[in-house]
Amino acid sequence: MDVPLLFRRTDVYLFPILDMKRFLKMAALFIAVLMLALVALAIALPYNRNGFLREQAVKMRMLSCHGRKAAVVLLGGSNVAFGYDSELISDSMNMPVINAGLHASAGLKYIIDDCFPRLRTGDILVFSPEYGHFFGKMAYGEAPMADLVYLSGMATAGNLNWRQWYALLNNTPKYLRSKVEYTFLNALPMAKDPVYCLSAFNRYGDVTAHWKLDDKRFSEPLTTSKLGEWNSDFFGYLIGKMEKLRARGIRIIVYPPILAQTAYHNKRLDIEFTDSMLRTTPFPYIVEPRTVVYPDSFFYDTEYHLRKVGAERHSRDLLKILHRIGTRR
Amino acid sequence: MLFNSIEFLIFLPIVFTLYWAMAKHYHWQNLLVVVVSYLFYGWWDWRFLLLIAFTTLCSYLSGLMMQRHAASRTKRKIICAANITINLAILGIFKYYNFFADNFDALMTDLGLHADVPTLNLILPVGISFYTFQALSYTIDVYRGKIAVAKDVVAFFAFVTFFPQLVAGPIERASNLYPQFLKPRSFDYERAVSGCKMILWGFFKKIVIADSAAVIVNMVFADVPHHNAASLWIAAILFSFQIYGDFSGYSDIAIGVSRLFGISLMRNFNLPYLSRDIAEFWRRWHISLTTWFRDYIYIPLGGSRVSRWKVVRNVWIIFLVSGFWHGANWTFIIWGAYHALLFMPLLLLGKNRRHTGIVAERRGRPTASEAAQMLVTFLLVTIGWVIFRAADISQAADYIVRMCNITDLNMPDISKKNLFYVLECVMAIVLLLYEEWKHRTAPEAFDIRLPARPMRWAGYLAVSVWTFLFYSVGQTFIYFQF
Repeated sequence: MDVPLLFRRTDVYLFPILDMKRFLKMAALFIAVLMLALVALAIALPYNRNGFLREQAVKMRMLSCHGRKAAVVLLGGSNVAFGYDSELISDSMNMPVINAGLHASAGLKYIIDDCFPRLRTGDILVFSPEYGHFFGKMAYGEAPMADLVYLSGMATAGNLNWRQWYALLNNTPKYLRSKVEYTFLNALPMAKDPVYCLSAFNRYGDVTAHWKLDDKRFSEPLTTSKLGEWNSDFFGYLIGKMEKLRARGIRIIVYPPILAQTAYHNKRLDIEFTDSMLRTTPFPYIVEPRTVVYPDSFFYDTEYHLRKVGAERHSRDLLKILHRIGTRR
Repeated sequence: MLFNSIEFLIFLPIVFTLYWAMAKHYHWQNLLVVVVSYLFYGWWDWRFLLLIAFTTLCSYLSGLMMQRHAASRTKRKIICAANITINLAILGIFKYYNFFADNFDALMTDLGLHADVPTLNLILPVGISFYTFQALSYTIDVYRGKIAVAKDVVAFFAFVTFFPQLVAGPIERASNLYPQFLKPRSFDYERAVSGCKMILWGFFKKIVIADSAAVIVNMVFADVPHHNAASLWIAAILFSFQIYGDFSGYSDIAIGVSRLFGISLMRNFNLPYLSRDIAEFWRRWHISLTTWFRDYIYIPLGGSRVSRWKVVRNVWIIFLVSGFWHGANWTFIIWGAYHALLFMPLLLLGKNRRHTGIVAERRGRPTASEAAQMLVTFLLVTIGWVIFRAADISQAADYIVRMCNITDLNMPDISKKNLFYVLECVMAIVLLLYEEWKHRTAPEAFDIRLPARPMRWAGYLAVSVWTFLFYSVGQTFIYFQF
C-alpha cells in the first residue's frame, strides 16, 4: 500500500529537523552558560599578586614615565632580565638604564609592539632577541603572551595579528588555570619561588633575587638541535619596525643574546644563520654571537639566565661596546 | 588535525552543518565525508593523502576483482594475497624497515661481519596501522565471502577514511561501518546528545587525566636513576591512567563525533581496569584490535580448536604480533611477550574465560576476593606499561628493579609543586573510576543521572570547566604513532 506523500516526508525529514533545532538550541545554550561560567571564574579569581609577568607593567611604566631622560633601554627576553647589572652600566654611562626584558615566550612581536612606541629620541636601544624568536612561531608568543594581554586588561590586544590571537585563544585555559592554582596553592603553606616573581626585580628591572642563591646550576648535554623554520615574515616585520625607530632618532644596537657554551655548541648552525641574516640588515652594531658565549658555570637555571658573576661580566662587555661606538654623553 | 585543537573546534561545526544540510542526498554526504576526512588528515601532512588513497583504491579494486573471479578460489586467493602484501609492504617500509635494518646490522656486527644496510629517513604516517588494518579486514572478509563486494566507490572511501576514527581507531570492520554509508542517515536528538556526552568524557580523559599525568610520567621516565621507588610507582601508575585516558579518550571522542553524523562505531574499551585477570583485561582493552587479531590471525591459525601446544603457539603469536603492531621497538615485543606469559597459566588451567561478565554485575560492591583480583591485575598491567613506556629494554629493566626495591620506598622525591599536579591527577582519576564503576553495566561510561535538569547541567558544566582549565596546546595522542 502506498504511504501518502505528506506522511512520508514528515516521517523522514520533519522529525529530524525538529530534533536538529532542539539540539542546536540546547548546544548553544550549554556553550553560552559554559562561557559565562568561565568569564565569571576569570573575573572572580585573582592573578598571582607577586607574579613574574606583572613586572611587564612596571617596566612599561618606567619607559612611559613623563619627563624621563634619554636612557639605555635593554630589550629582549629573560636573557636580558637575568643578564645585566644595570646599576653598573648606569654609573659608567652616567645615564639611566631601563631593563625592559622579561620573557622570551611573550613573543618578540608582542615585546616590540609593547615597548617600541614608548621609546624616545636619544634613547639607546640594546636589542637582544633570543635565537628562537627568528624560527618557527615563537615570535608570536606562547602562554606568557596570553597572560600579558589579559594583565594589560586587553589594552595590548589591538596590536595582535591573527597568529597571536590564535596563541592567545590556545593559551587562555592556561591563564585561567594559573588563577585557579594560585587561589589554591597560595592558601597552602608552601615555600614560594623567590626568583620567578615580581619581588625578584631591582629598580632597574634586573632579576637579582638569585644572585645570592646557589640552588640551581645550568647543565645541558652536548647535542645538536634545530630551532625550526626561519620566520622570514616576522624578520621583515621586525626590520620595518626598527627602521621606524631609527627614523625617530633612537640608536639601535643589535646585541646577540648571552648564551651558555654548551647551548651555543648545540644551536651553532641556527645561531650562525641568524647572525648572517642580521648582518644583511641596516643596523651596523652587531657583535659576533661567539663573543657573548660564557662558560656554563656563569649560568643559573637555563642557558640564558646569568648568575651575578655572569651579569657583571656581561654588563662590562656591553659597556666596552657602548664606549667604543661613542654613545657616552 | 588534532581533536584537541582550535582548528577542530572550527572544523566540526562547519562539517556538521554541511553534512546535515545534505541530509536528503546521502551520496553527497558520503562525498563530503571523504573530502573533509582528507582535509582532516592532510592538515597534518598532505603528502600522505596519496598513501591513504592508494591503500583504499587497492582494497576497493581487489574487491571488484575478486567478484569478477568469484568462480575461481585460487584467483581470489591470489588477489587477496596480493592486496595484503601491498598493504603490509607499505606498512613495513614506513614503520618497520629501519628496525629490521638496524637489528640486522647489529646482528652482523655481533657475528664479526660488516653489513652496512642503509636506513631510510622516513616520517611515519600518522595512524598508518589503523587504516591499513581496516582496509585489510575488508579484503579478507570479501575473500571469505562474509560481506558483499563494495561497489559504491565514494561510500568505500568514506568507510576507510571516515575522519573521526581515521588516525587512532576504533579499527572498524567493513560489515559494520560500510553499510552505514549505503543508506540515508537521519538526525536523532538522543543519539547526538549521547555523542556530545561521549565527546566531553573523551576530552576529560585526554586533557585532564592523560595530559596532566604525562607531566609527571615524562619527568620521571627522563631520569629514572634519580628517583626513588615511591616516585617510580607513582609514575608507573599514572602512566597506566595516562595511556588509558589518552587512547580510550580518543576512542570516546571518535565514537561521539560519529554519533553526531548518525554513524555508530564499535566500543573500543570496556572498563579494562575493572578486569579480574589478564584474559579479561584483553577482552576489554583496545577491543577493535584484539578482535581483529582474533578473527584474522588467531582463528585462521586454528584458534583454540587445535592441540594444546598449538593453542599455546597461537596465543604467543597473537601477543607478539600485537606488541610489534604498536611499534618497531623491542620494548613493544617484550611487552607482548610479558602479557603472553601472564596469560599462559590461565590458558593452561582452562581459566581464561572465567570472567566474561562485568565484576559485581548485580551487586553494589565487589567481594574482597574480586577487589584483590582487580588490584593484582591492575598492578601486573602497570608493570607491563613500564616496559611499554620505557625508551629501551635496559631502561625498562632498570625501572622495574628499582620499583621493587622495598628499602627505597620512602616519601616520593618529587617537588611539592609536582605533587600538587599528582593530586590534581588523582582527583580526576577518582572521578573516572567512580563514573566507570557506577555505569559498569550501562552502555555509556559517563552519564550524569540526577533528577533535576539544572543539577545535570551543573554536573556537565563542572566537567566541561575542569576540562577547559587543563587544556594545553599541541598535546598529541600517544596512539597516533602506532
